[in-house]
Amino acid sequence: MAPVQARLDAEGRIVSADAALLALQHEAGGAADGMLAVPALAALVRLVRRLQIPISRAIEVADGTADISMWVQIRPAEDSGIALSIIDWQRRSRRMPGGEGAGALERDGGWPWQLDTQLRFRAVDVDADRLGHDAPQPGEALTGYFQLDTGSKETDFAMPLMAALALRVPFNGQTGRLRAKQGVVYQLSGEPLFDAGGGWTGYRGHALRIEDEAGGAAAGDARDASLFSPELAQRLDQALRPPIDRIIAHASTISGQLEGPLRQDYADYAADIAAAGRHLMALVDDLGDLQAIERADFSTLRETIDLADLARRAAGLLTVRASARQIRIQTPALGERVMALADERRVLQILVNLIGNAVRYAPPESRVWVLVDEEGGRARAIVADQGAGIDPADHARIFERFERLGRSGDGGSGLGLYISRRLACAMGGDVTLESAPGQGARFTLDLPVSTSR
Amino acid sequence: MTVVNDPGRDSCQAGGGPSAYLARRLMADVRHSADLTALADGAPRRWSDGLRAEARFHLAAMTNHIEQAIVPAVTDPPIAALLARLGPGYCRRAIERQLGVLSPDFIGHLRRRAAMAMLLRQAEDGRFHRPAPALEPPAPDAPHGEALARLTLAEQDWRAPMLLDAPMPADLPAEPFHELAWSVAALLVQGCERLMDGDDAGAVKMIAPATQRVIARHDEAAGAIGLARRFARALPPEARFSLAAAALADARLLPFAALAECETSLPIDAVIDALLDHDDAPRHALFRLMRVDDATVFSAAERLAPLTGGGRQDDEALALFVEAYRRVEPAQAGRWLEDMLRPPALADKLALMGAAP
Repeated sequence: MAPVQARLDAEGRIVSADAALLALQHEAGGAADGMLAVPALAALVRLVRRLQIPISRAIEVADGTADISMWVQIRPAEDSGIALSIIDWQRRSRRMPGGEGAGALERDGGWPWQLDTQLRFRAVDVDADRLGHDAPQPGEALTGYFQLDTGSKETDFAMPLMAALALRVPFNGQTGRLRAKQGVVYQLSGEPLFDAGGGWTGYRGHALRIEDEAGGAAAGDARDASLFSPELAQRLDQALRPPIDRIIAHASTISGQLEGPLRQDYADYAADIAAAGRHLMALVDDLGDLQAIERADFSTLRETIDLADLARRAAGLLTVRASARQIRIQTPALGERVMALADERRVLQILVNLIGNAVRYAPPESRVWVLVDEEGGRARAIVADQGAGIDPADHARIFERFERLGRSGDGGSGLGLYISRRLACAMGGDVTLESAPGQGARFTLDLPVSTSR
Repeated sequence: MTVVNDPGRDSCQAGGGPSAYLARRLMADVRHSADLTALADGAPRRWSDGLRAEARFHLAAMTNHIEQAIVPAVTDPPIAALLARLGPGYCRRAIERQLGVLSPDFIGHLRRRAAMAMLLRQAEDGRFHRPAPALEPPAPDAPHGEALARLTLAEQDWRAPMLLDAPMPADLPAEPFHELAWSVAALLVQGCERLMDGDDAGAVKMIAPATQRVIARHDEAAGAIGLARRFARALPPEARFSLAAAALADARLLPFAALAECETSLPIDAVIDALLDHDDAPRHALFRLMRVDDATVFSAAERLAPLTGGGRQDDEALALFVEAYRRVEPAQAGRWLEDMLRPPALADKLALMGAAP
């Protein structure tokens, strides 16, 4: 295609322009002899007028149902106007970036998908007819569509997607079972996507259907049995805890400038190190708990506890974190008592997790309620927040291991709710969720009531 | 820490007395820890996701390459059997767990290399894709033609698909190659000893000579940095400025840095560091010294913005950068160069004596 040319006057009004550009101008609501109205082009023209230098850049312009990718060269003209030249004008239907047709990609290695940073599908270039089952919908979480395979034994433990996600690197060989059709297994491979600023924007890859596995759901259940052998978990704990402790201590000393003044950016780096260390330590804690609760001989104490008192203590532990976000935690009134039969340390752990999640995901300056009551022989602690809420379709999934509902970078490991629920079940109770988008979340810890006072 | 890799000495430019010297030592250690953390974890402050992924890929791929050179060179059957048990790709996974073995100098080199590779990769994609390169292949009989063609091929290796299990030629300068090769050797020895439950089965005796042979075969002049130097030296001095601007327009930092090295005597590493500095002043001075025109400065600033770690990256910031560049006089740039060329060791000695440098 020949270059699309235009001349603008010193004010940025169109003096002359080729038909293709005039069509774009019309689409953007501008007049044929008016100021250039295509936003991306107009911004570049303003820059050229200001700096009086030629600027060349690739830009994308929306046009009806298509995107136009173009390489634009804009330069000051001798008559104090602006000369605009567009080469490499490519019109693309609005589908997955880089989008080859699904047919070709299926032949090459599966159907293509693209995920955002929350691991939600952004675009899928296939339909149900072609797949033989429902295609994922834009916005649907990858982990909602696929149940990702975690392997079963220490030697077999492999979750390539999660490993690659942490490193922002390509992965392959991640198997996943369709949640809607458990017998259908896919192998996923993908590569990270970055924006012009080097920021990670998601993943792009292919899903290749592999042989349907005999046993379907049963095979999946077997694979879910355990992540780590007790020996590995113990070694991990022993190996990681001391050095992480030292990293946190030293980094905190440096970031606090306790040994003397330091340039602020270096103090900030040290604060980063300390924060990363604390996150790692929390993960070690979670993995230790995970290993413990998945042992066949795991048991909890059955003692009489005051659920209201534990709720107040758990909230107290999180006061500083809540204050930092101007979140107010409303706890059971002093003197209120609800007696339950459970393991005090484990109940405190569950409540800290539930209240901590509420503080983490609720909006700043909001309120978190911690209530307790007793009904029908059951003692309950309820943690409610004013956050974004959770889609009912995700309610079961949120209690799965490593399930983050697409969230990342907030310090969570995706293990807390899984562990909390397992602990509650081990004490003859449960953790349940009531929530809907926009209506906050309400987690309930349910335990056997104690008749002792 | 040895005197050789003492970061307080190597990076000292500013003087300021013994306490300042010690403070710089501490800062260098903190910065190195921060770099290692950024590479191993997720702190986005100084290493963007893209830069970290690129650095990790280069480290893994070059480690694979060196491992694949050392392992077959070990002929002792028991040790060879142990190495086989470790399996291919052992070192790239092991080095991720022990990034602390890598020196500040090596991490610095890796960061520069990753930044150069990231820009090359960007140039092929999206917003920065140019329909035609500015640094044109020269006529076949041009003196720098072959060097430029070989450099272009070497740069292609740097933007290979980011597969962590694939090898990439470790076309490093001698010092970082030496360090990476011995790091790989140490990891292999450690891996063998673990398999033997701590028993020394002669792994060091067998792996060390194999590593020495690999190091002896390494030719730093055949790597991308060596080729860039050869390309720059083959050019007549009057051609340096126009080709430097063309290289910058193509986001090819390595040929630009090699040309700047010839012109200013600043080493390539220092040129790249100046381009990636969080402060605009070094970039302004360098561009002025290389007589880069305003339009190329604009496009270079646009591409470098994600890597410099400072400030905004929008068009207003770019316009301010160009406007500030216009105010930088050649004499001012010359003074910056004089400061940069001052022997660091002399500046350190003066600082230790408490005298103004």
